Amino acid sequence: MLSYMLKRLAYMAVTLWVVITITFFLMHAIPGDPLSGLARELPAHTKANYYAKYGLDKSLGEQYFIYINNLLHGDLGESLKYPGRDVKGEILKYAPATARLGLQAVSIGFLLGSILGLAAAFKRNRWPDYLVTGAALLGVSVPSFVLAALLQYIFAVRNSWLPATGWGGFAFTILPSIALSTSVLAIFARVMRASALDVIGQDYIMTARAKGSGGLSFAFKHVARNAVLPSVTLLGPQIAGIITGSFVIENIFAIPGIGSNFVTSVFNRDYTMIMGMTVFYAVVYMAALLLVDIAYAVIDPRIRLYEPK
Amino acid sequence: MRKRMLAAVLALSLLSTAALTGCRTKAAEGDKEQYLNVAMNAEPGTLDPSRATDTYSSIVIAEVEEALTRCEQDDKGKDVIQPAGAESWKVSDDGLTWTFKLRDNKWSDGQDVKAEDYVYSMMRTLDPETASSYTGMLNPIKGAEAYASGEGKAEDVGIKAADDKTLVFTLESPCAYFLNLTYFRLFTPQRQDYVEKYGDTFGSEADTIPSCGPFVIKSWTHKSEIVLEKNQNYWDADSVKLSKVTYKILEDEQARMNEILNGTVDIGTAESKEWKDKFSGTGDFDVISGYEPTTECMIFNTKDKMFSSVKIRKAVSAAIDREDYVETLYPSTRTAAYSFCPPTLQIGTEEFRTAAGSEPVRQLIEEVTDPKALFTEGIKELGLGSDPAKITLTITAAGPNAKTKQIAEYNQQMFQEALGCKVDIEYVDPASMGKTIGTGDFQMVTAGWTGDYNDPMTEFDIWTSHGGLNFGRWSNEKYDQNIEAASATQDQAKRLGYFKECEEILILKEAAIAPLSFKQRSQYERKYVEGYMSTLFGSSMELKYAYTLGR
Repeated sequence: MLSYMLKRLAYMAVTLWVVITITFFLMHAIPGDPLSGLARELPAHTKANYYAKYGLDKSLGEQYFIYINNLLHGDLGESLKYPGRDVKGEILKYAPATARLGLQAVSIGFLLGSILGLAAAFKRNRWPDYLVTGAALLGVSVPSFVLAALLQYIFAVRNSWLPATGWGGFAFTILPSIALSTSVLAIFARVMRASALDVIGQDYIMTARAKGSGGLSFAFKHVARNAVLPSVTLLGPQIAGIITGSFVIENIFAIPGIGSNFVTSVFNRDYTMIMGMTVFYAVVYMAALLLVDIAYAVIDPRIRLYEPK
Repeated sequence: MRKRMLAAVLALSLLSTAALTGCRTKAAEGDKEQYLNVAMNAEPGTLDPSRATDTYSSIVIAEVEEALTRCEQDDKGKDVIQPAGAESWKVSDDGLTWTFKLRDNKWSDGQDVKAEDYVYSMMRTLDPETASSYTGMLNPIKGAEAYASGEGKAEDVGIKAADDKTLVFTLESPCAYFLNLTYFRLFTPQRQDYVEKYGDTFGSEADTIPSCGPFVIKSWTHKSEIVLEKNQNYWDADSVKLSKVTYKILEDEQARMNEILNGTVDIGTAESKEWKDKFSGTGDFDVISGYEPTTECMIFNTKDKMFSSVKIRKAVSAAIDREDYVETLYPSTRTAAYSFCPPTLQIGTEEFRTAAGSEPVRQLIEEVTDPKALFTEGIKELGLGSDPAKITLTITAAGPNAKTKQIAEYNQQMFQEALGCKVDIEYVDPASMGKTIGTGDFQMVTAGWTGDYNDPMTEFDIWTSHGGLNFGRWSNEKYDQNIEAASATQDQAKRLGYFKECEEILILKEAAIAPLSFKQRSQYERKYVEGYMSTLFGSSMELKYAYTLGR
């Protein structure tokens, strides 16, 4: 197990390095620089001062090695768009809000989606099935920002049941979590339905039924546990995607998370923030994949992560 | 019916504006709990006065730091400069030496605000190590530009503290608008001990920067909200009635409008006709309407073969139906521009537009009765044949996004119809737009310009031959001479003459640019908000005297 983990970690380090290198050079290849977002054309000496301060006057190769060296020392640099903000500090400080929202959304989506998918599979070609597949289609196709605006209007403007924007307690997380969860829910409902149908058709289910099993405990113990594997595969990327944030949702609900950083930093050519977000995203994504692999082994004893000697 | 509705709405908004200005002088009783929530459209970059670049930073800095002066409004809603960090000032007869007498004011931690703090602040802005992108604002000061560019020495810069309470500026040449710079964020003091302690993080978090203005920064949750509290150490604390101000940072327009509508925020700006109508319909708001110091214009690349011709430039400018342009693209948020310098901008204490009394674009339209004929004449002179249909003009636009696409396509269709030529649209990634037009790789481009300070110089000096924003590379000797002459004198009557002539050369005689629209301001405040000042410059959302009555 230990050697397996070490191997995986080594792979992760190499992958991270490749991702960083590609992003670094791609980022500098797009036209414009952090100053081009300003509305004014600056005098040459002002630009020179700026480039010198942030080391942008050095050759690209030199900048790359400086960046890697700093990264190895745990320094992600200072944001170019927001002077004085340390990229690492900024990510660590605001990631929890994003992560909380994301985990709530994935939890709702995964649990509710799986249950609905299971129900649809058991009532195949009857009204619950049509309802769930119809709703899933809607959930995938309605963009989250449309739903967000609608929820905001109904629950915060027409009726002041919930706060429309901001961050402060559980009440603030309800609307954005729901807005974020629908697409997740829809995906899991469909995947669960398909794999549960597959499981229901298996011989051992027939055997179990013939022996008189049935009801809810049967559905969960025999069907759900076997059918959940494809959903778990999906869970990794879903978690990674959603806890690194949603640009639109965070903007609409004015949530102090990091989701908006990814998109805006590219627009602003905020080089250090782009790199910091890339590193963060890559690490979270790979960690999620690793967790999924471990979860496989727990759920399905037939899967082994390593060859026992 | 529709017209009458519009008239009714107009009358209503006039009434509430009048009511508002009336309220300003009323004796303040106010609610027991004094707080205000204000919508802010974007996250301020930093509250470090030296390194901030955006207007949102300026709005907050003006409330928490005390510049030498403060931009306030008189009872007619006009910007006036009031003593703030300085209680008085005098200028020498040659206009080169400005002496500011500072008042007794304290920092939020109890220390005295000294003249040295102001000197330190401005010298830090100029220091090449700080890499401030706003050093240009200090250029009127002797030796400032040289020091900022690394050529001059710090001791040669004309910013000195004569004693703890006296600040002396020496200028390069007389500067008629110098006082209009002194309420800008660069003229706030900074504490050396804090800057040294926090280094680059100075101003990036609430606790890294001390205050000496009406409010102190209580907390700052990035991209969410900034909370200010009344500064008990402030010299004029008696005038400050609000005990708490919360800026809600709402970058999404829909969310921002929702929060204005449901009352979570008390003051906010409406950006479209739909929302304006909706807010007015509730009867809960006073509307503050006016102008932003912003002009949208079309810039012609005069180094391009086609647009080197004055006739073609004039034809294109005259072909624009500006009323239809704003009606279609910016219904009730902009007005047609028949001049370059926007309304409400002042020369001395007088509004420039009123003083100038001219609208050069109207003269141009009268002069050019048939734009298509003039256009044809222009292309003939360039040896491009006599058929406009064989000519293709190119509009360069950022994006495309929904708005820039709409504008570009409107212009495309309009020019094709009015001039009979073909028009292409070329879209450029917004981040590289600056480079594209900066290197002259365009024919015509639509751009907005917002003035930095309350003097026509902020508008006109960009079109001089060496102006950094003169993307059309237009050059005119007489224009340059006039701008130089206007910089060298303090006689406002003479300066008015120079600027007026400049405007005529720029958009009538030479048609180097075509003004399109002026941006209007529509801020909505809840009826219980009193004493709020929506200034043209300075903070632009001045809360020092604001309070609520009947919340």
